[in-house]
Amino acid sequence: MAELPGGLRPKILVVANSDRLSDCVADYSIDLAERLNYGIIALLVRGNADRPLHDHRKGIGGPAVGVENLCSSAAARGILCRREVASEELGSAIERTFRAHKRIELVITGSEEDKDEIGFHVPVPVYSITPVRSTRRAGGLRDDPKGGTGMVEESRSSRNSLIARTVALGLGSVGLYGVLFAGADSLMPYFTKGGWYAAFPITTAFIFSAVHGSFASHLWSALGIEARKSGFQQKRESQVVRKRPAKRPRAYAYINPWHRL
Amino acid sequence: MHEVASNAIQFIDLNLLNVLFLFVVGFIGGLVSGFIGSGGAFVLTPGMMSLGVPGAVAVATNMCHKFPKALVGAIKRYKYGQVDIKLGLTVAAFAAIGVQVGIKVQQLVLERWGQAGSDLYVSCAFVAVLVTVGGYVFHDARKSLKTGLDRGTAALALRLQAIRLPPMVHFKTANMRISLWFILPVGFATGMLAATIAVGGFIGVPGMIYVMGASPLIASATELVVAFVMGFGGSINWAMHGLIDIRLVLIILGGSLLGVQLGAIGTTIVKEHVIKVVMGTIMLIVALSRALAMPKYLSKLGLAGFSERTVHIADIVSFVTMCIALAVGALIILGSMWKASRAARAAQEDYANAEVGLG
Repeated sequence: MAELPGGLRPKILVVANSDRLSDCVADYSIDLAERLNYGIIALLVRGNADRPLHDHRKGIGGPAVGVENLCSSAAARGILCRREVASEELGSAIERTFRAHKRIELVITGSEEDKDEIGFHVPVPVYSITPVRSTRRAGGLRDDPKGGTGMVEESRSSRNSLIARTVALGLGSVGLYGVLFAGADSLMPYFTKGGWYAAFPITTAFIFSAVHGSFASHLWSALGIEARKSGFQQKRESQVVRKRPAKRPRAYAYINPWHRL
Repeated sequence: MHEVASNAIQFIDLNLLNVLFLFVVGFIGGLVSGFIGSGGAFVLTPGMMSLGVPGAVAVATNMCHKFPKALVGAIKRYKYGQVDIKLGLTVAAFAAIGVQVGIKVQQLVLERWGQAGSDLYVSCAFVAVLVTVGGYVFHDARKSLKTGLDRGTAALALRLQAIRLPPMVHFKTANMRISLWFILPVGFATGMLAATIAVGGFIGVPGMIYVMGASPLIASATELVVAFVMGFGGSINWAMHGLIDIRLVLIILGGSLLGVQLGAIGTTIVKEHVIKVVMGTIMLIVALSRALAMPKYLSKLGLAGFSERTVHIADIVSFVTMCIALAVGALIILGSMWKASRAARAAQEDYANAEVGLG
């Protein structure tokens, strides 16, 4: 798929009106951008000194991540992301951003209050994302008294588990190869006997391809070589198959039965 | 027959060089298969024979590695939304008929003209099909390269899709609706070519693109379903005759399962027309390779008077050219993936580093 120049790609503006963004806002923005093939502009507004920071000890706003981590996570999924900083009031910062960038299609923020204020300044939809107190996934939304970078910890732990799975599958694959080649002399007569013994080589091929195939898949992921969701997949998802409409006979009503004469 | 197989297996010397050769060829073959839906098989059979494996065992072993490789590749590309299972199974059903007809034709040629005649027939089929189809695919790919855009559905496919000849079949993933009568010849030819030159995809993939109107991504991914069905059926047949060397199968699978997944990932990174470029390039080089093998068969049949030395050199050059075909295909795939990834990284860095202070 040919990449559009950054200026012409539709964008989502993610607004952080404090030093941090919550997990749920970051996750939602990245998921949405990936689905829509949009870029992200992560705007950090530092201008409102009177506004209290989110109290992470009370879990308000959920575990928080930096704007930098948002862009890192977006980049890891192939989403263009730009980080910007504004040292002025929220409204002015939003207006300047809209003048500086084309095709901002929607705005996401983590606060209802900000959403209302932003809505006065922009002609596009504005959404606020508030966290739900749940543990949808390991290392997900939960009260974190230390207010740590939940998103960073989660990505680190998922990477560690990927590497662990890769190593485990690799050992499994090596083990299977070792067992078969060590016993090759005694196994080969059965594998070449023919008839119903045909199940041996066929089943062996399936087992090895399951284990070694999974190892290969994990290995490429661990090395950072992963599929990119191309415009082809999105085009296919949005394609509507147009079926030919069934031709129905039209009903005609004649007031005068002789009108055709 | 089983004793022949046992003796053959004992005859094979599995030294480090042979293992590495099979692993690397398996990897490259898998890479090409994962990307264009077919490939690798045409190098592996002569490759194994060059290591001393009897022809029947080489063909059986090749087929037994092909179906798990195709299965893994098909699953991977199915997750990317590129596989039309219904289309694959439909083509495979007709391909199964084509395989049986192809085997019968081979047997007739073998009875009439012997082994040399059969080899000449195979080489002629290689050259005729690959030059015609490969040339057209390459020509189409060059046009796409010049414009930088995919050329859309082929004109022939659009005309055939417009013909309402029942039964009409709709394929959701491929997003096309076409008469079953136009799928039949593509599937049949795929099976016949698979039985003749062991690579049905050289007809199957272009057939799905230019006759049925599937995109190159869908066609190359769906071909893996066809390859799995045909490979699985053929492997059961060979296994029942006790001709599969499972050690060679697993060595080749060790490399090809790595390669097929990388090739599948590559299809999501590069532009669609690269698939045509790789396919056309490989087909044309393989056609040249098979043309260079023909002096040997013509000499054996007494139809030409080439010296033994000439025949020997031509044979070696033919095999090397075939390996080059696979290597060139792999280089194009990896090179395209590298370029596309670099461009994406550069775009990301430009975008992210342009920090605009707003006050």
